[in-house]
Amino acid sequence: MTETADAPSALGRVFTAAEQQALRELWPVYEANLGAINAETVKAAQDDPDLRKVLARQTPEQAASDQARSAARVRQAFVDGDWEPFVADLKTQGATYAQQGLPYGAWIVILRAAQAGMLRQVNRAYASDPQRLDTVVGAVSKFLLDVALGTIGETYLRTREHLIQQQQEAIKELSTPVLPLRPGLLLLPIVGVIDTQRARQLTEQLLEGIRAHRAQVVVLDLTGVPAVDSAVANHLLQTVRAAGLLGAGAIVTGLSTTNALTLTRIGVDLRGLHTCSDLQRGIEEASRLLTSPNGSGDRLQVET
Amino acid sequence: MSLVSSDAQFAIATEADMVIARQKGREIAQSLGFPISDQALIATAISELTRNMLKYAGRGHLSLAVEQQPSRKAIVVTAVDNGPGIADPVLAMQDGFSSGDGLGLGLPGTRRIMDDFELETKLGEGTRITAKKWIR
Amino acid sequence: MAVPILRQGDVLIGSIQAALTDAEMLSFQTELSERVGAHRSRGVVVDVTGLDVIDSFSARTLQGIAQTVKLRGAHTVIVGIQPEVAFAMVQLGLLLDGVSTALDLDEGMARLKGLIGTS
Repeated sequence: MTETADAPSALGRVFTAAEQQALRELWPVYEANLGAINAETVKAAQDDPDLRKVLARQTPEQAASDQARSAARVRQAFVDGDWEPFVADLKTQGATYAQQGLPYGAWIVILRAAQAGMLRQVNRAYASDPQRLDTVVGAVSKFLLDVALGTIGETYLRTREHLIQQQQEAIKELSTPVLPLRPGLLLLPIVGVIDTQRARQLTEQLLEGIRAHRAQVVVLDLTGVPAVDSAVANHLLQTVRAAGLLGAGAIVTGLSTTNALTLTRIGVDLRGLHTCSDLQRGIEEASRLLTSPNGSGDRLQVET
Repeated sequence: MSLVSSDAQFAIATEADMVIARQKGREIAQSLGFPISDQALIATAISELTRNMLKYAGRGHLSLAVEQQPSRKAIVVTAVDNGPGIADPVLAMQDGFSSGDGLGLGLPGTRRIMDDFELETKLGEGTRITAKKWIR
Repeated sequence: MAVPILRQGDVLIGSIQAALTDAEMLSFQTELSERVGAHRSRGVVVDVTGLDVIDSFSARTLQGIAQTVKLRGAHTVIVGIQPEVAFAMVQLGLLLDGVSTALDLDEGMARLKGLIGTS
């Protein structure tokens, strides 16, 4: 998963100098009351069905060690002004849990509990100094909402996009199988809408299939393609030409008369493209060409 | 926000330089995660651009860079020469145009295979072509 | 010599291992032409497996080789175009008009047999 090129300094800029100073001063209070704050978040997590499952997977030792490491990172952020370790860890956690399917809402539960816990301590510590209290509350809100929730949110979005993309590619792979019918003969049934990306994938799979199976003839069946417009026709021609460069001839089947007429009428040059009205005929024709004395011959290659 | 990094600069004066430049282009494309077919496209585009440079200007300069945006990144190929320039750029970008010996398919084909394509040319001063291919 | 040329009976086989300069390509073309004449070869297989890029110049040269060889009375088959190279060529509009192509050396020899008519 790629990361943005956000420099640590970009994070530092979220906080004004006064706010960073306030967080620095807040650290001892935070550290002293860490137990109470953590207890509050754990309780909120136990009440949430998704989070409860996550907690159940952790041993008490793991939980304690996680909390200690997290505290160290928060210290680096509050006291040293180095937000990088904290944010990096959040990105990792976010990506991991996003992939596991933990709903984004679960994070809001945790952060809300952390906020309640922290503000309770802050109010107590700065009760006598309203101006400082104001600054600290602002800083804590930025810490939890801008930095923490913002990082998690962005990570979730990125992971989701990545997952969806992967799933789409898997679906595409499954839906365009290249089938070896007999030695030297491949069938590529094409189903559904063909956009540029699918056409590219189709071509790659076909070429790889030609190479792997040493195919001399490929049958491209368009029966399952509803709309064959000039864009699709061009993709098809490209695919056929590329197959030709690998020495394989192509027969296109399933191109309805209507579609063929439309294409001719809009000026797509189908000359040299070997077509058959139905798949069965096409396969028979392909087999005939394979076993003919001249081998696959030049006749099959698209002439332009 | 755009970040440009991984600069690689090549003086193009011989065919060997062409090969080095396009191999580096392929490497960068691979490191950015482009599939093999795209790597081949990018290498071929670099080959076309540098060859044009050699043919019409005698020599030139090719640079390869990476442009980073929040949700995507690109390989940026820039070809610059101080050659004669292209008299009719519009015509040169039309498929089938030929100004040298042979087909002159370089430019329109390159534009087809790259995502972004910019051509700046001035007669007597030279030509600058910037082409980008993006990946998420 | 940049491109090794082997002879197998009626057929000459030239294997391009890596990117060639213009001069090397031309010299290959000349060499092939001479040898076809000298041996009265009836077929030529040009193996371009080693080319990781075929741009418009390379494509034109390959076509030129096929034409030159044809003038000497022999057929040419280009073999070994890699899938991603074929893809790039087609995207770029390079079609190798009028040139026979096959997957590899074996297929190329079989194709030549068909074209030449005898074994």
